[in-house]
Order: sequence, then C-alpha cells, then structure tokens
Amino acid sequence: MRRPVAAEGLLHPGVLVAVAVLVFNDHFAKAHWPGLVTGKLSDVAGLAFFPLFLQAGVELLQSFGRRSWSPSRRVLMLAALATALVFALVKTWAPASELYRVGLGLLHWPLALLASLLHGSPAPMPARVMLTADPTDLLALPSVLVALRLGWARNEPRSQPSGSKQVHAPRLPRRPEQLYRLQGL
Amino acid sequence: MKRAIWLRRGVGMVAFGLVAVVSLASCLAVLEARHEDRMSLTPDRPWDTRRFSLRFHSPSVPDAGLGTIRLSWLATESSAVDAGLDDAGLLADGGAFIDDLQVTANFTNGTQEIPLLPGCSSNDCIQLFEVEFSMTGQRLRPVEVQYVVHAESTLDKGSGATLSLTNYP
Repeated sequence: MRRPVAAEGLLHPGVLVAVAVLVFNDHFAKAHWPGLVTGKLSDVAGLAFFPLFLQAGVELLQSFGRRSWSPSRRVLMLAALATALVFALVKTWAPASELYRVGLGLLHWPLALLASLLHGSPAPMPARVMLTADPTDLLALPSVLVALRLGWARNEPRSQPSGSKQVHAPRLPRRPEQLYRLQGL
Repeated sequence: MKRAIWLRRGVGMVAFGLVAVVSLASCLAVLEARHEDRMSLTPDRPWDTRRFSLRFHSPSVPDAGLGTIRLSWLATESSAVDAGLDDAGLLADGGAFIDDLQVTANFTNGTQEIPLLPGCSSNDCIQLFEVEFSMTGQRLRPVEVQYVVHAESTLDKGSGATLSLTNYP
C-alpha cells in the first residue's frame, strides 16, 4: 500500500483550481468586473481549500514529529468547522474582525519587509489591514463542504497508519488436508 | 529509501508554502498613491511648503485603518563644490507635519515614514498634511530639492477602495 504524504491533499486538482480561481478573481476579475459574483467568488474559492490547507499543516507537524499518522477525517472535519466558525465571526463580530486585521497585518509584514528590501525603501512597520466586514459574505459558507468532498476520499480510514511497520500474518491453509500436508502428515 | 521519503515530504512542504504565500498575497492589496515634484529654495526665499490631501474612498470599508506616508527627498546645490553643503546646513528644521507629529529632516537626502490614521466620514477618509522644506544659514546659491511623497495602505482585496494623493496650492 502506498504511504500517504503529508500535505498531499493540497495537490488535489480541485484544490489547485480553487487557488487559481482565488488568484484570478483577486488580481484580475474584481478589477474588470466588480460586482456581486466577483465579490463572493474569492470567499467561495478560499473556503473551498482552506480546511485542506489547515489539515496539511497538521500533517506536516505530525510528520516532522516522527509520530505515526494517517490522513484523518476527524482533522479534516475540525479544520472545516474552525474555518467556517472563524470566517463567520470575522464577518459579523467586531472584536474578531479587529483580531483578524491585526493578525493578517502581522502575517503580511514579512512580505512587505521583503518587498521594501528589494526596492531599497525603509522597512515598514506591521500595520492593521482594512477589512470588508460584509455579513452577506456568509452566503459563501457552504463551500467548506467542497473541502470536505475533496479531502474525504483521501482520508478513508486505514488499518495501518503511515510510519508503523506492517506485520504480515502467516497465511493459513483453508482446507484441513492442506494443514496436514504442511505438518508432514 | 530515506531520500525518497524526504523527497515526498518536500513536495508536501513546497505545496503548503506555495498555497500559504499565494493566498496571503492574493487576499491583500496595497493601495499606493505617489506625488513627485521639485522645488527651488533660494537665499531670498529659503523655505517652501507643499500641501497635500490624501483621500481614501471605499464603498464598503468604513475606516481606512493604519496607513503610512513616506517622504523621500534629495537636495542638491548648484555648484556645490565650494559651498560645503553639509548635513546641518539644510532642512535643519524642515520636514513633514501631520497633526501633532513632526518629522525633522537633518540630512540632505533621506526618507521619513510617518504612520497616519485618517479621519473618516461616510466611507471617505481624508488626511490633509503639508511638507515644509527650509534651509538655514547664509547660503549664496539656490538649492534644488527633488521630493517624492508616497502614501500606502494595506487592505483586503474585496473592498474596492481607492487612494488618491492631491497636491493643492
């Protein structure tokens, strides 16, 4: 049986399509066709792959921890639940939006720092990003189900977790006469 | 065998890193506005002030968050060979003034970055500010100052926001 690879779920064609849609929509479609569809499309695409991204992070940590692991449906479901919950809170609850703005600003800071180094401009300080807290974005929430659908087959329960040695049981003869033959009788 | 395991693990790590960077870079946009100009300071009129209006507009974002204004300048003196242009000679009390923040530029060329939090009303956030250049001391020759005012703010892509920087008299 082929061993699963940590974060392999991100190589699923569905995930690659979702990432491509996100990039295309953010960098091109929103500017050319601003409106309801392009406004929601990035949320749909992001929610469709983000749970698998979280699961990939957990798998990488597990694989580095040298623990035996296998792709887990439980982890996938928890990741989908966490994604949906955080998304809903950020869009509807001011403290969560604020936390998101600060957190995203901090995550974005290394990229901004790198860009400033490349341009020779002074290093920027981490800044809170602006956020569109639009509750109608919650319409995109069901797309976390797409992530579950994409990851479900890969996360089928396995009897042998990756990293553990497989033990081959001796094959027993089915008929009694075979057993006698084995014993030399 | 070990090599193959590391190779496969590497594929997963690269996929994870790529997705992380791509989605982070994709969901954020950096709005930028820029104004570039030059001025001449003369011994008769050793100072000049430029006024700007920075306007952030978004149909969906009620506030502009924290942005930055970056001022870069380069001052050159004609026939500066014997004029001895030094750090203390120019812009000793010049700089950019934004509300109660004051930036003093002590060098003949440099960059200064200032955080700003524009006041907002009905999805329009406006920050007025002025940049004052002055030279001190007795100078005999005009000084050319080239400057760039650059404003930027980071936001999520869905906001459809614009940032504009206008120079007014």
